[in-house]
Amino acid sequence: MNLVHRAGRTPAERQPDPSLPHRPEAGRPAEGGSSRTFRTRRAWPLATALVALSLVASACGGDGQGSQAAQDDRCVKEFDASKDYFPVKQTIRHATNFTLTYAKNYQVVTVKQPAPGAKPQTYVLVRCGTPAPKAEGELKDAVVVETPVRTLFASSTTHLPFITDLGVLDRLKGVASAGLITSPQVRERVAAKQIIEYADITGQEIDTEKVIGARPDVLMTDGNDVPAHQTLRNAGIKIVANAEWQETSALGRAEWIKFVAALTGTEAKATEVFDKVAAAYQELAAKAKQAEPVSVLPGQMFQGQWAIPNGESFMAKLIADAGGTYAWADTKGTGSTNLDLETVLSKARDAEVWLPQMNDWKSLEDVRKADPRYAEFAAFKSGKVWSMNKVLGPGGGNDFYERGVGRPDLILADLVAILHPELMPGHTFTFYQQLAR
Amino acid sequence: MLSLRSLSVGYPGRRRRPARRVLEGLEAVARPGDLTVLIGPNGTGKSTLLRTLAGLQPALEGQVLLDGSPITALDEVERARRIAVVLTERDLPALLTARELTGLGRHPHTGFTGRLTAADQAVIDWALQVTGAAHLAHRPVTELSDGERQRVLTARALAQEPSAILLDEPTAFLDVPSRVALMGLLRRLARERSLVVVVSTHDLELALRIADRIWLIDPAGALHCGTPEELTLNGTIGASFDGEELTFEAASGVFVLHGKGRGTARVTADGTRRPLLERALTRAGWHPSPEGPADLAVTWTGEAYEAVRDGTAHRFTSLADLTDWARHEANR
Amino acid sequence: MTEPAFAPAARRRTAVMAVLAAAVAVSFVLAVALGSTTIPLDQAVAALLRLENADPGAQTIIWTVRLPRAITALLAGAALSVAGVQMQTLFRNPLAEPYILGVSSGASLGVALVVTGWGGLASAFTGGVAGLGRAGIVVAASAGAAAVLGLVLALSRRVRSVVTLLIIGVMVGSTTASLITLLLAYSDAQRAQQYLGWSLGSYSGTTWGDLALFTPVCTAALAAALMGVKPLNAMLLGENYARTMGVRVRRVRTATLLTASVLAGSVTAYCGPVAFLGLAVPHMAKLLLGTADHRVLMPASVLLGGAVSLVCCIATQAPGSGAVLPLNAVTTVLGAPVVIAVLLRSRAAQTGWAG
Repeated sequence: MNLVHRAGRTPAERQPDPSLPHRPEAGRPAEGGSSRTFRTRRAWPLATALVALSLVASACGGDGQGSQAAQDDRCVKEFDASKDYFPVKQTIRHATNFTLTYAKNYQVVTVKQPAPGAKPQTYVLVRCGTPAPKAEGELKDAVVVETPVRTLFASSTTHLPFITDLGVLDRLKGVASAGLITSPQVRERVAAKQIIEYADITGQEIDTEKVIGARPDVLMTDGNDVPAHQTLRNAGIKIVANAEWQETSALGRAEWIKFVAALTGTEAKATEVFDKVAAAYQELAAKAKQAEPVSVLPGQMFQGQWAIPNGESFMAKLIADAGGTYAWADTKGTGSTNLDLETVLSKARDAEVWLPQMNDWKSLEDVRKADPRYAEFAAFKSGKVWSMNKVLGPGGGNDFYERGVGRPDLILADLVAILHPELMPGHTFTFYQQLAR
Repeated sequence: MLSLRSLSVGYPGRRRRPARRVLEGLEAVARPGDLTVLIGPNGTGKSTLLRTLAGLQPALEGQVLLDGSPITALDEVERARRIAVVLTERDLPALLTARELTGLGRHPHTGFTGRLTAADQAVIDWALQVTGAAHLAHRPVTELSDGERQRVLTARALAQEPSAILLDEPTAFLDVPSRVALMGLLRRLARERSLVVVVSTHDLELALRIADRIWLIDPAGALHCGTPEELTLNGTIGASFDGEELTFEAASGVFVLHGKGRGTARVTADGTRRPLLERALTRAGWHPSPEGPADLAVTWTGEAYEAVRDGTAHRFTSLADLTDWARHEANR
Repeated sequence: MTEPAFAPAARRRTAVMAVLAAAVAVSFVLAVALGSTTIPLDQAVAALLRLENADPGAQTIIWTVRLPRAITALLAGAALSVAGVQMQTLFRNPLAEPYILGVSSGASLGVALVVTGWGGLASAFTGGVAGLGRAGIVVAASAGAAAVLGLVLALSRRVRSVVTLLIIGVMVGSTTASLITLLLAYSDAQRAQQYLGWSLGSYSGTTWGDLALFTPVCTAALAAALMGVKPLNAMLLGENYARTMGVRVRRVRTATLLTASVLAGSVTAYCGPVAFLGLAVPHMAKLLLGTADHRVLMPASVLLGGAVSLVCCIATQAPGSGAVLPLNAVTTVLGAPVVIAVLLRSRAAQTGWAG
């Protein structure tokens, strides 16, 4: 059911995509011209010539000079079998859910688990203008995509920071639903109709006609396969799974920028961006490691049941990297478990810091209204309650799940500043804010 | 005493639907001590009338008076203390014993919690005893037979200590002995307790035999009141119930086949045998003529039946053979 | 009903009531003594009595978590069972239960509206739970239940047959369920998950503040229901017979619907929709007592309902691991086989409701 499906994908929020590559501009003037010249006999042959010319012009296509130029540089004119077409090679060090290997003129990307329990998917990213390899062996069922892609659609807000940081935002032509996007640049482009929204307001129902009509070079999904995707595949749309949310480490998730780079041909930029982020992250982690670990209480409860992240989950690793510890750090699993309030009280009542994940809580009064029993916790009493809802988009989307995906260093900085304020004096918080008293 | 004054019964009108009158202008009286039986062909409105008398449906016009006061003037509890009913509903709750069911009849007399005092228990005991259901007291009602169930429901009605009991087709679904027993019981109750008892039934012959008063609703919707003999004599019964094949015979008080036989027959036999032979021959198609010439003469010789027709004599040892032959003769 | 002629039946009933009372006491004690964390009995007692040497951790757990939960379970079980008896008698239907008129659907719709902040359509509205908190949920659930109750009562005056009312209730339930699905489809995952969690039912969400309101409302409604035993007994034979026995049928119908809905609605407001108790406990009580007489059936349902509910509450805390099972799963899994087994064994129930 949709409910569970979406609940599991908390960071996945939909984006709208206003701009589509249009071709109609060339056609219109012709029609306008022919109606005016009906009146005089002398203008008749002239009109016919005009019509013919404009029809020819429209048949050639092209939606502006930018993509015209890109088209000229994009594809290889003469294929040289001995040339290595990938001068910058990316290596994947932190992400565990995809692999990237290079051949001379194509890359092979395998996403191990696009969705929980799903089979691995392989993509062959062939440099445009070069021949694709034979579809045999492990490449048998692979999706072949010509790179670098000119236009792409993205289904999840978590993909947006990668696209923006790589500087290829102009190639983004469609998002599923724009409601929860926080990035002002993307929202601007949506409003200006440069990016279209190809699904309904919930982001679930894909308007296949829109997608097929727009013909993006590639459609990036978050890994979940819906029946509409098959329709799109049948129509020749290339669908790839950008399943960064399946990673359990923050750096692993951020490293998926390299996936988008492999598609768009911006490997150099990706390496630059990611190396900076990784370096900052690791420096922070090293600093935090030297301090005394601080006890943390993650999550919050509803109807007396507390959702506690398991020991191998994303949140657990972040807490560990930030120099924190929590009572369930040695449990197994990457999801969360529903625990009784009693258990949480007995094990974590005296945790120093509480990190709930509620978009709606701005003050401790909000917390008390939700359930007065939170007051039993030491962290509540001392006021050390921080939620990551500092930046919320106009549609209610949380930037922690958008920009935060690409910038785990900023998240870690916030966390280290919360747990060890003495290590980060004068820090400005990006995503986290302390709840007001 | 239960009186009907210009009573019209039926279903009240709603928006866009006019009132449906089932019966109108009814005038009748049911006296205490009488067993009043309500008869009439199907669809004439017997149930509607009884429901109106019980207060379950409002009268469209006119009044129902109980001991002089209209029943609409009584509040529900007071009415419940005066009138009790036995309805046609057959759904009984599980897990109630006959005694508990009878005890429900004390409802208008008990206090707020419904607790039964010793006096209430005495009434229940009496009700069960008088209906012959005392031995069933601790059996669950869903395990009782139809006849037993009707007794218990009657006991429940009696437990209300009413002055009038109305019963809607209580003998439907009962076998003949139970039917007879129930009607006998009702008659006895009417007499011994001076109750007004109004029963509706389809069993015409039993009704005419046992009722003190008959209320007959004819197919035209008119109500005729009188003793069974009065209504038989003035032809009302015949007019309402005679059919193509059967007619009501006043003398015997039963339905007989039409005497349009092949011919006449004269029967010579003793007192018991003669009417039975006549009945069998009527069924076979020979109309009995007690005196005078007849087409067929049947005599019981003491050992066998002798039948003479057209001068030919036939001898039969069994009544069945005689009857079959007579039928065969009639169809020749 | 004291019947000198048949003492064994009366003795059976007294014995059953005594056993039920004991069962309630024992299960209440167990609900306080057991939980996902192990607290030794002596410490539990000390914490309960707030002795000086009591461990503060144990005190917090006993007083903030276990006691409110146990009291809620007791009240909710009693309330739903009594409401179930009323519905089964009023509608003369063994499958009737407190939610049959759509009361819990109305409450669910109210909660869905609050939790989703009227849906994601008005993107600026980020109300949700935070704006109103738990009080918001309770108020919304009560308002939803009251709205449905009002509708049903208004219709019951115009509708002659009680079966029509039943069908209307089922239709109301279906309609609200569709509306809720619609609301959830247009909200984000976090909100939808909140609603889902609520709809699984829980006794752990009530605090002492909640109980300050829930207890008097529930007890008052229970008392009102118990006052109606006499007319309910008459209604066993159906509305026609009841009317001829002096029962003011319209009034009794309204009063019964009102108390049953307040009972069911208040439980739903604080605990979410709790499945199955209102359906199963009346049957269990009838079979234990061997009678349908409401004068014993109602008090027995109060006790049995409380005891069964407390047992379900204990069963939701899988001891040791701290993980919690959803309440509705437990009530159904525990209750359904019991009822089936009891029905198969009992002859009285086999003859069923009809004659």
